[in-house]
Amino acid sequence: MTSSDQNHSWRERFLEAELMPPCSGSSREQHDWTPLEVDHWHFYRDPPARHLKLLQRHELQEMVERLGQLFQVHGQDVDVSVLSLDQVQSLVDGAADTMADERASAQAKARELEEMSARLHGAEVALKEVQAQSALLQAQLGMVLGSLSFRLGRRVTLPFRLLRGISRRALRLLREPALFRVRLVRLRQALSRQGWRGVLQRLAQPGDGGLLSPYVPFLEQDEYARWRQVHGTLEGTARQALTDWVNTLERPPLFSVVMPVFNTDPALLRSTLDSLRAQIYPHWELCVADDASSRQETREVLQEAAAQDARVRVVWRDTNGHISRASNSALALVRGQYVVLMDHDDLLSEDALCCVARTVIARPGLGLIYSDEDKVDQQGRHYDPYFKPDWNPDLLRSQNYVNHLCVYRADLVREVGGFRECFEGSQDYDLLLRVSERLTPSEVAHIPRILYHWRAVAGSEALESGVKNYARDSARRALEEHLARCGVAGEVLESAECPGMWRIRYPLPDPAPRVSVIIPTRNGLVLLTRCLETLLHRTDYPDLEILVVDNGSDDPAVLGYLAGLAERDRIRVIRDDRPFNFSALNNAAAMQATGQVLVLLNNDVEIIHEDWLRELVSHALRPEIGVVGARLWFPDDTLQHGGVVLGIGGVAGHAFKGLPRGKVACFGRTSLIQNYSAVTAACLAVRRDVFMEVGGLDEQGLAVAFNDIDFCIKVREQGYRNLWTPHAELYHHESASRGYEDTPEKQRRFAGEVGVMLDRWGPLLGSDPAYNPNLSLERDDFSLAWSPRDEAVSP
Amino acid sequence: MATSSLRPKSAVVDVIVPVFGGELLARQCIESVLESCGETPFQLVVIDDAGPEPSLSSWLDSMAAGGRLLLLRNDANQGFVRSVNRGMSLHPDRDVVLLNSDARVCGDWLDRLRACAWEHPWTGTVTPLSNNATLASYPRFMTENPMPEGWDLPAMDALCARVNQGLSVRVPTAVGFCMYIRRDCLEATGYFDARRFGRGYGEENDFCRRAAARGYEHRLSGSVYVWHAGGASFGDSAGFWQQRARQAMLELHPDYDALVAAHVAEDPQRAMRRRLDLTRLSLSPRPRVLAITHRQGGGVEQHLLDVSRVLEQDVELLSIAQDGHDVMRLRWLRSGEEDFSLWFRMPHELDALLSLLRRLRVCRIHVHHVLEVPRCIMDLPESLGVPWDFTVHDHYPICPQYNLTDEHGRFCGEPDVAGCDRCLSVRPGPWGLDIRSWRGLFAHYLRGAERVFVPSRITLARVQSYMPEANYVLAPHPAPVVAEAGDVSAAALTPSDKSMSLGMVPPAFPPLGRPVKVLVIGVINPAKGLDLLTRCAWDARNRRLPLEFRVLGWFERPMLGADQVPVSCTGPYPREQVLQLLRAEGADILMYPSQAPETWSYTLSEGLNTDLPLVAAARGAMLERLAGCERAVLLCPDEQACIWNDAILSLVGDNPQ
Repeated sequence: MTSSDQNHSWRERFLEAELMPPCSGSSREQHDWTPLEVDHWHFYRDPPARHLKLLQRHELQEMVERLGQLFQVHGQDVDVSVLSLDQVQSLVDGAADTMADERASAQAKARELEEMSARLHGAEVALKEVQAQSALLQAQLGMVLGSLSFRLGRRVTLPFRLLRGISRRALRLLREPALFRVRLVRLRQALSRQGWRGVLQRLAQPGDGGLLSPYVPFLEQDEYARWRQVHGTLEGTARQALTDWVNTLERPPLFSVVMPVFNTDPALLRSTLDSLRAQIYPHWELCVADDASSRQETREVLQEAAAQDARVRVVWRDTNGHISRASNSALALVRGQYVVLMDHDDLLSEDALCCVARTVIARPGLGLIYSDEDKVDQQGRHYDPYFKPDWNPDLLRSQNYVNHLCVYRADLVREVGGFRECFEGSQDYDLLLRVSERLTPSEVAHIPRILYHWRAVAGSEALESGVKNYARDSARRALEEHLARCGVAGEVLESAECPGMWRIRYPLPDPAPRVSVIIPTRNGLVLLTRCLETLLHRTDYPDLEILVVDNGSDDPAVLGYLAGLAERDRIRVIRDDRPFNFSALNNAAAMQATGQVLVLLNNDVEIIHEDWLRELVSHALRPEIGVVGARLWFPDDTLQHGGVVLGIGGVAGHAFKGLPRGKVACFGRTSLIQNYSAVTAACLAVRRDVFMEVGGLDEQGLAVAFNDIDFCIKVREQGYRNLWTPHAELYHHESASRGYEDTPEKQRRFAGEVGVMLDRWGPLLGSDPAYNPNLSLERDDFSLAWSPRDEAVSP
Repeated sequence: MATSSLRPKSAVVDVIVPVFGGELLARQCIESVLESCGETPFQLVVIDDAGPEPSLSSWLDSMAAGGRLLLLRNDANQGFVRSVNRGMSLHPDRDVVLLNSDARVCGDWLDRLRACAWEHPWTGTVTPLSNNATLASYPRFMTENPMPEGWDLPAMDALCARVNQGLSVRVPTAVGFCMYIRRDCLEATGYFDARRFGRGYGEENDFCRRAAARGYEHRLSGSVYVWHAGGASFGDSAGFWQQRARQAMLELHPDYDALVAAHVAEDPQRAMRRRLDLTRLSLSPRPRVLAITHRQGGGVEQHLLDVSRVLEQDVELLSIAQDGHDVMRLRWLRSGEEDFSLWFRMPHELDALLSLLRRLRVCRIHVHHVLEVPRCIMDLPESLGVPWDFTVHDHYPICPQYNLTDEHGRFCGEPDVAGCDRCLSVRPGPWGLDIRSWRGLFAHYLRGAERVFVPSRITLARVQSYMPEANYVLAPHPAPVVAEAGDVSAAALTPSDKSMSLGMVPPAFPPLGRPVKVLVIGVINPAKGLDLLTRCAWDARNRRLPLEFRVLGWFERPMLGADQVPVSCTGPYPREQVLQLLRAEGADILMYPSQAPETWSYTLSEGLNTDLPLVAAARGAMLERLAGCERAVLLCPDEQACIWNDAILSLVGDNPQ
């Protein structure tokens, strides 16, 4: 039997039975079938909503209820059931709108949640790193203890658990006593400023205040927003304390807020005025000059404000005179001792005037007070905080870093004649330069706290410096006149890397003074030849003397090369076979140098541009300038030296180390001439008399490390300003010659040198005036400190 | 989205058909659009992408000249996506429908698509159902379907319009063969990415994901059905372009595959398909028969599948079986239909099931197996008031141990009532019945059946001896449906943890120059002769016989010392390809070592389809089915292993191939 027969017979047999057809004929053609339906949940084995129908009905009911609620909210008393179809349609459309809005907000929430989870993830990763580090340290401690008890013949039984409890800190201290001392100094500072509570707080904080500072990778996004939540806003108690403090004042200084207004968006203007009214410090007056606004609403807002608050006074100008004239009109109204400049759409933090008042009361005789600032966008998000250095005259010649909040003593502004016309766009910069010429550094105060929020509105300067091109020309003229008034024959050039910022090129006298370049060296032929050959052939300077200090080279090739060098007339080779002491080598060479300017140069640098020496010397010759540092790059074109910040990583660290070439950070501070407290001796220039005045490098205490930092601070203490210029560029093949601090002997020496620095400069190391207390001492990229070192707020 | 955006900007819709070649299909497509009737005013925009067929071009020209369509012609071939973009930019205020030239529409399709597109405020695109459009496919999801038998496009479309009126579900992406794009979505999202997806494939997916990122949803409308030929658009280079598009999607939307996979797994559009299925089933002119079965697969399922094909033209066959603790699963067994499933929770959804079966006008029930089936399902015939048949697939009516084996898997030899009760006290049956009550229950049940089908005489005799009063019908099972020729190698089976490699290599058999390969088919458990197979393997090893045992299937329990004997197995295999697999294995002889008496044995049917010699256990249906078969040897399964092995060797030695 074949299979088809088999199938056939089975079929025949099965069909023998009576099988009723469902119904006669097919009704398909008439298209009048009734759909056969079953409940939805039968389509699923495990139905997600078994009672879907119920749910739907429930939802429907809810919708109707919500519609009703909506109408109630809108003041409409509508019974949904009696509406006509069109009315229901329109209501439903309205509801659809609401739903769409809600959906959008829900989506925004979801995004927010996603971001939060991403941040959480970052924090978890950091936590894991810390945990791993801690485990490693514990393991190391275990080993140390093991060997310790072994050596003591097992007679010492240490309570191991107790030790393990403090192991994280103790071990770090064992390994880096220098670090410990840094911490101690900071704690001592905290003690003097905040008392024991401050110290305890600091110890409890995981940030740079604690003994152990885990490296927490920063999440770029919204970092500032989070920082601001913690440190940028006032808590109730702090606010109350400030209010109390204000009430105790007997003769509170009066601040006159000067504000020119022209067709300002009324909403923005209102919020500006509100931020002023919200000041904790009540003793202010607002001097508004309305520059003949054609916008009625703007005028109305001002009229309203003046009517509401007697402290608000408005002068209505008949004709539009642009910002300088308008500002001067407002200045004419000033009755207070201090003038506060404020733009018509910006915001003050609520403690702004309070902080200023505290500063001027604490330091009478101040002529100029400025604070940090940030930007705020239309949605009220704060971003781009600029944590500024203390008084930094050379940075001021590179950019108007003072900007906002800027408070002048009123008589100074009157003396210089207020704002000048023809400097529109940079009239504030011009005024600042003119006032600053009349001030000594001690008459300028910087409040390291964000007191001013610059509003980024399209067309306003905050958004783009290119928007107002005319401001550039006036800034250039302001600088040129400033230099002229100071008697400096400088040339104002626009910075190539930061448009809208400046480079002053100072002239060299003719003939240029002799420069003595001091290069200590030992072996390392490749490094030395690269350094010397570029120095000889890639340097455009007329009168150059090179002193190569050979500290015990024994490589015959190097010796041969040095012997050949000695025959050249510009080079002297000084043989100094004492044990390596960087300070002594340089000092000895400086004694023999004949140049008016000394340049200390490491043997592992390589010159990039020909005018590096002219740039360095032009600054070094300025009488107020002490040490001049250069911009050094790693061979991979990342920044090696962009100035030294005291306190970073303990004693001092290089700013912006690792920044890729061509990238600008921190509002141009990576690419502008400015004052730093110290610069590296890998390449520095200083007048010989200044060098001698401070006694050169410290041979006794600082043979190898930190002698340059110490030297710079000493120069600074003598009243000179140290300066870093980005326009002298060199490659630095760092640590290629000296090796690492790896032997115990070297580490002991290093620790000793850290000790010397701390003893000598302890308090200064945590509060570099070229830095900002709100910036981290753990990292060198000017990122935010999670426990700021200055408590400007607390009374 | 403002209220105003809930209304289309323009009343007119552009239907954009890019045409390249395929004259017949393209003409049908364009004519179907022009003939479609609806209230929505539309403009048919045909873009001739410099196609190679002049007759098509001239036909398009004549159509355009008649003013029935707007013809845009690319000077040079621009590719699908650029053509579409050109069409979409034609009227910047109109919604558009992109229609492939190998699709066909009918009726007021556009009205329904448009209604669906503007029903929800944030709908971006709408895709209709189709016979061939991945996740919009019907009847079978994610498959290319022919039109269901007896249904043409207008009927199918009308059915969708009627049954799925207003139904739509969210989908992660539209399907490009026919997509309605709302203008506001198009404006927000931008046009298709011609740079990356110039040839087509994936451009709509990219578009949809971009739109989704802007808050738009994509819907699959259940109320429109559009026919789609599909597949042949780009000729030989299709694979390359598909590959490229996949790569681009992976780069642009790395989560896309996972999204689609999740959607396919969830398959929310099944509700729409089920509604269509149900209505089509209820409209079928054939009588409905419901089979009650178990979920163990094996011979019963094979039989049901065979029956469904044999009776394809005669009945609509439904089946119901246990699927999990208290859930029954109702299926429609018809090739070309999806594995249609409705689930009913017992007992509280029994009424819903009964009501459905009544509305489907089920006229007969066929009980194949009642293992695990709740009483209320056993009583279905009574509840529905329809006649019913019974097929004996094993000895379940006689004994809950349906293989008639003892706890060691040996044939129990049918002891007396006391012996059976002893056995059942060790291994109780489902309802805790003693053997007398069990048989009484089933005697009653079989008596009630209109017919009791029994596949083999020996089984008939055995069952009849216990339950004489029933209308028995001897009917050998239909032959299994086997796939037609096609080369499959055993290696093509995906390796699974159930496969097992050879424990030792046996010596060669001189007449063959290699060991004799003995093949056993199926899942080997004690009842299926695991013990005998183990003994044979060990005998072969101990006597160094040139025998290699191979199982096409796997061991339900591990074989003792499997790593030391010449045994291997393939793991699970697709039943349709068993013939090819048998051929590919290159076996010399088939072995059926079953301990239990078989009632039919489908694996024997498969073996009989080959021309290999067989050695089988002389028990049950084997005896009957192999009687008179010259290439078969029947041996007692309790016989010593050496007898079996020697028989195998002599059988192969007599017919060396």
